[in-house]
Amino acid sequence: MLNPVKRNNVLLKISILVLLAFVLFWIDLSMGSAQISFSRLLSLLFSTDQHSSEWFTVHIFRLPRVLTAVFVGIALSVSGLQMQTVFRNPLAGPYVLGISSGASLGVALVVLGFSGYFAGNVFFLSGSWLLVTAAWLGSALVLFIILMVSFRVRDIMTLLILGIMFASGISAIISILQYFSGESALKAFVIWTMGSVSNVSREQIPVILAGIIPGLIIALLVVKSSNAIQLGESHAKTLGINIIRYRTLVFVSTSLLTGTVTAFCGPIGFIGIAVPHICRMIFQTSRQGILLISSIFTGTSVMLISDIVSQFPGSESILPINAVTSLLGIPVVIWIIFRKQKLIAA
Amino acid sequence: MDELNHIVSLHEASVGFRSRSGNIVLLENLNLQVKSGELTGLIGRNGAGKSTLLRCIVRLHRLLHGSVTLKNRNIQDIHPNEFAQVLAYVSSGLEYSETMTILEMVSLGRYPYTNWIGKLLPEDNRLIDDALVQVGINHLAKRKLSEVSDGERQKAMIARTLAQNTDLIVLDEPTAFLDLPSKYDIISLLHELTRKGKTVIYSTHDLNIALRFSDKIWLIDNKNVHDGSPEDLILDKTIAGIFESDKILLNQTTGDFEIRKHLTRKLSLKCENPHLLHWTRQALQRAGYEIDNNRADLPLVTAEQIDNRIIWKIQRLNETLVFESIYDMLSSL
Repeated sequence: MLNPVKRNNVLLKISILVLLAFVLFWIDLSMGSAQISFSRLLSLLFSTDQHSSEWFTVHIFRLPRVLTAVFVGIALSVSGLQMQTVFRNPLAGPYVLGISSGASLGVALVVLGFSGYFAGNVFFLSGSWLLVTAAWLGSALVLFIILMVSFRVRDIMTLLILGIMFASGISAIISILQYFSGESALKAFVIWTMGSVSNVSREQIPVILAGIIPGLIIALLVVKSSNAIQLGESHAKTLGINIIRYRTLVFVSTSLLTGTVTAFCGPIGFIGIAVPHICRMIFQTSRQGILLISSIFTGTSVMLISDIVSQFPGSESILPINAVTSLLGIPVVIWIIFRKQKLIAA
Repeated sequence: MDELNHIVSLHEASVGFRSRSGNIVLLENLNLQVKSGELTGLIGRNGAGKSTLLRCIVRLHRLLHGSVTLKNRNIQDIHPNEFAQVLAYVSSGLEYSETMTILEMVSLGRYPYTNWIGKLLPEDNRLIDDALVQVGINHLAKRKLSEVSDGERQKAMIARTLAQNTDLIVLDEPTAFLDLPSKYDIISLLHELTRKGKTVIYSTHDLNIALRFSDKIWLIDNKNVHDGSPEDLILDKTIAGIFESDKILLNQTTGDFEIRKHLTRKLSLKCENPHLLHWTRQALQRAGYEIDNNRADLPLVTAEQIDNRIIWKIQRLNETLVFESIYDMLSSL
């Protein structure tokens, strides 16, 4: 129940988050070596004059990058929120099921395992359909195994441990592949693991959307159950929730969201863990509907800030996005741990 | 008996765990009923199967054998959402997210009634408010669960079951981890709810609270459950038989447990004030004295109230000692 004052408060905060995301979107779009004014950007965005070089810069290079950053922010934040709720663990994130490991394995097999077929030149692979498909299949395989196990395992903590064990096992296989692979293939793979939002092409944007829109719809459908699951599975069940169905929907949603963006951009850390906590801090609520909506816009903003920082304003070079999100996200995770400690000490 | 009056019945129920090496049976062949509007207290020793029995009733655990009926329907045939509108459950372990407020938690009681996104209608909000008022925590509605006392959190859980608007409430150890006043608070609240028409089944380790407030006791004894009013179970010595040991003794009058002492020394005790008599006797018994007022050769203890002071005297052979506290008197004995 929200009284009118509180409801206005929530709406105000969400409006501010939306506005912030919108402003950051424009700032990020203006980032790049060519200086284009805001008013020019606006007209270019809706222009169909495909012959100007500025149009090309905005539509072929910048817009796909900025949109990808937005999608990554949304997908990882919503996944992180869902994983923290389903595992009832504040340090859970989009990758606890082993989805990034699965994607990494797919990419590693292509880049490292078959590098001989590409005559040593594997850099052209980044962002290619081949790589995306490989990462997708890797994630899907992990999801399939996790779902099979989750039908048999009742205890959610066991699933969490299995997910972590699974990820470690895959990492070991990837290490072996890395050990036996050539220099250029190794570098290409390492760069993939650093994450990037710049390699997504204009044509790939609809594919990302096709992955994350169903994921978001499912996330919305499980909001009600997510609220109740916070009291623990016994209470949730006696409130009428079908736990297995809920869990399956959450896993499918997370895999669609995380699997898709990871396939295109590589694993991107800390956004998924940190953003839901930022939202809980802002809204001081456990209501999953509010947290879902605010995670969408906060995730967008945080990822856009990361992208802006990674452009390293005033410089030609681009920092790896994963390094930036980690540097922004780690303080939040440390803050969570300290806050927990304060609660225990109090 | 009138079948319709029974809200819950167990028929030839066996409770336990399935395992590969064979079933582990905790309770066997139970035939129990709960009448509408009754407060039923489930007691038994640790590991006897209290939680498991309750979990079978709320359908979180499957019976090894037999069936549970809720309002004359087998619980396995009831749709989960309908089940949640008839029965609410509070488990012994409470999980909650750090930012969850009492109001948010109590609102979850409306889960079986709300639409796909969980929207609360005015009617839902009214029931939530009522629930908070009934357990007396409406002033704490905006507080976080992580910031209130254990007793208040337990009351919030009970408010959540009231918001769920069910006929039956099942609680697993609602008084565990609470201080004594809070224990009484919770059980008298449950008692009050049954007077308003709810049916409540709860398990507890607080035997004398259970004996005082419950309409019916389910007492677990060696894979079996004795049921009856607390008084019946005391009078037929069922409770004494289960809980008494060579160290613990059940006082048949008060229902309290006492430490069994080998009382070797004897004393006479005289006192006009029954209140004073009770506590002085208790102190002397603890110190290892048996009270025997039929012999003149024993030391005589008297207690009397003069104005606002209480005086204890010990008279023996040729001396009389006067004390102003029981503690001093016991020290000199």
